Amino acid sequence: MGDLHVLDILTLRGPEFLVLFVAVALVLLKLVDWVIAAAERSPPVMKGTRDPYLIAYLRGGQRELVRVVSLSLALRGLLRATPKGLVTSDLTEIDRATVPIEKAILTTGRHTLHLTEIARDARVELASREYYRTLTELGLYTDARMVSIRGFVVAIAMALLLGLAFAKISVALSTGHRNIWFLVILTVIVAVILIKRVGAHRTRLGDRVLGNLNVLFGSLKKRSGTLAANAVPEATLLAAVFGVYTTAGLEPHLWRKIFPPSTSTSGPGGGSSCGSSGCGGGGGCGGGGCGGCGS
Amino acid sequence: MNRRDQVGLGWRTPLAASTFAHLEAIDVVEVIADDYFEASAPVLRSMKSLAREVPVVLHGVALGLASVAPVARKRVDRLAKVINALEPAQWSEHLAFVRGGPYEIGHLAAPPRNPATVEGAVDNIERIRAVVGESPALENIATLIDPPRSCLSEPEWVTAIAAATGSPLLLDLHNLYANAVNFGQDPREYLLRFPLERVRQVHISGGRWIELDSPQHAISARRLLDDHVHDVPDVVFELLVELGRRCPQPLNVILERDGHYPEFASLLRQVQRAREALALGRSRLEPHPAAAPSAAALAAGEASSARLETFLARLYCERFYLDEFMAAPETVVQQAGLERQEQQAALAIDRPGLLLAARSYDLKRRQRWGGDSPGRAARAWRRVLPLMEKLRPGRAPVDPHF
Repeated sequence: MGDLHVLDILTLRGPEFLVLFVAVALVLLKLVDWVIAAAERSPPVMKGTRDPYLIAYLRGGQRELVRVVSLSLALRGLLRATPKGLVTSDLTEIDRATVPIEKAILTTGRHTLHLTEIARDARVELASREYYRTLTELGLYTDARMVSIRGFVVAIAMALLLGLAFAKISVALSTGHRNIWFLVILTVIVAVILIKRVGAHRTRLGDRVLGNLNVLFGSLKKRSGTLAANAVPEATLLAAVFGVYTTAGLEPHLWRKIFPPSTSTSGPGGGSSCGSSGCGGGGGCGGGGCGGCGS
Repeated sequence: MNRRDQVGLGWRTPLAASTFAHLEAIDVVEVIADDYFEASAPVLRSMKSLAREVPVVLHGVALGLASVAPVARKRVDRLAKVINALEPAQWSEHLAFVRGGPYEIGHLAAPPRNPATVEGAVDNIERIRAVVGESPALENIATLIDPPRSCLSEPEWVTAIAAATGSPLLLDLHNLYANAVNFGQDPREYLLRFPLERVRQVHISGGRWIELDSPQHAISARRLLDDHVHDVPDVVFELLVELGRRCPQPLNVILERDGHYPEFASLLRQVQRAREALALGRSRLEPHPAAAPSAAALAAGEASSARLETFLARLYCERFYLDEFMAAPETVVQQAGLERQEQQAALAIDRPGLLLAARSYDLKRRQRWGGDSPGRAARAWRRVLPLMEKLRPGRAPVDPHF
């Protein structure tokens, strides 16, 4: 009886099967999300997410962390922007720095370097890893266990979906039909969406925390230009939540030097920090997580 | 400082990033409940996330507790929704009336201080407690007008309501200071007349002196306005020292600032100064004896009706009505449908205070609603009024000093 029903489904006409396939794909995606969310559920104690550097890492990983820290250091006069890159203004400040990532960047800045080169420095990478560790401990970033759970859930969903598509294509080909390309394209699209679920760096909780921060300071985003020049903590926070472009009006001359148009990928004229690195290859942009992009 | 004392400031959108970026120097933030009555689920969730980072207290501004008229259930329900969503450590409301009949005053007004408004406030607080689950901390308000038909002093009136409901108090020290200097009291002595054992929360803020010079009405006056856009004056910090000295219980102190924002460092300095003032008071601790409500004044007291509140609200809201009252008070009072004693009280009203209060409320309404009131009934009423005015002969001239 059951086999008869499967056969009935597989012998549906092309458009009808595609509608059914889309419905099945949507249900599977919802199920995958639900299972992942259930597996990632962590205690609702979220104290400790007020550190702007932690927020910057949560939003865009190490690259955004380096951008926000560099901006903060430059606004405080500790880093100097030159046409060749960033350089530490006063080397004695390196010893005075208490925040490890600031110390690492100031140390790297002994030699004039561009942001991308600073981000690749081993000392900076080491200091950044602390933020990754904190975020995974807070359940905001995926750890190895979560990645394996996601991989397992997505693999099951993929198997079901590919199995259905493969069976239909086999039936179609065996009955002399060649119009299988819509189904192939649809299957590839759904498979890509599913794979992105595995690759996302942020957890659902991480997305939610970032979403909350976006809403909390949303009305300030447009008014960031009115920040006082010495309002460094505020500028750092807004840069962490929405991206460094929100602070472009604060010290335009300095800002253009730190983030020159040719290398900027999150400024208003550039691309977007979502996708490239900010959200783990694009998969983590759901749930309002990358609220700073797109405006 | 008492180990459980907390000092912080009001959560305001223009200050949000600065506040969040300096939470290490802020023990508590106060959120205005009314700002979130229409808030979406994501906005409430974001505020909840704030409450996880720092203790949050909630502050209501427009329930109109101290009125002989009952608080609308819809308003209480909306408040309960916000309280449930944010789960604040405490919540508070003003002992004020904010509307009368169809007139939305747009700000906090002092009701007649008599047994009727004590009873009205007690009923309202019980009604709210039934829905929300707990009483608010009751805040004393600043008033430019000595409210008519009052037989109780402000401290007696506040004590009576707090005692009858068992509610804690939110003592606004600048409001207290303004009322003291505006009506000839010594601020420190005035402070000691309040039931200090009930105080759990404190507001500090600033204000400015405003003047009225109306040759038309042969009135000139000068009073202190609590405007929340100036720095906290020294005298308020001195009152905080005294309060810390008289209150052994933990206190939540909130700096209120609603505009003309200075550099955030200046606000943080005022927060720190409040912390130091409280600590100084604690070092000289000398608890104040509990205040008892004046049973005699309550028993022999006068009463007032909703009609008197409506009459006052209309005077505050409608300029032409105020002008008519100033020109021909007997006629206006008779037409208002007030009882005989209420008419007498209205005729003896504090006229400089009335003019200053009406001017202040008008400014508040303009800032908030562009001069119009949001209420449906009030909007309809305002559409009808100009037509009625055209039919009225001999309109009073507009006071250029209004």
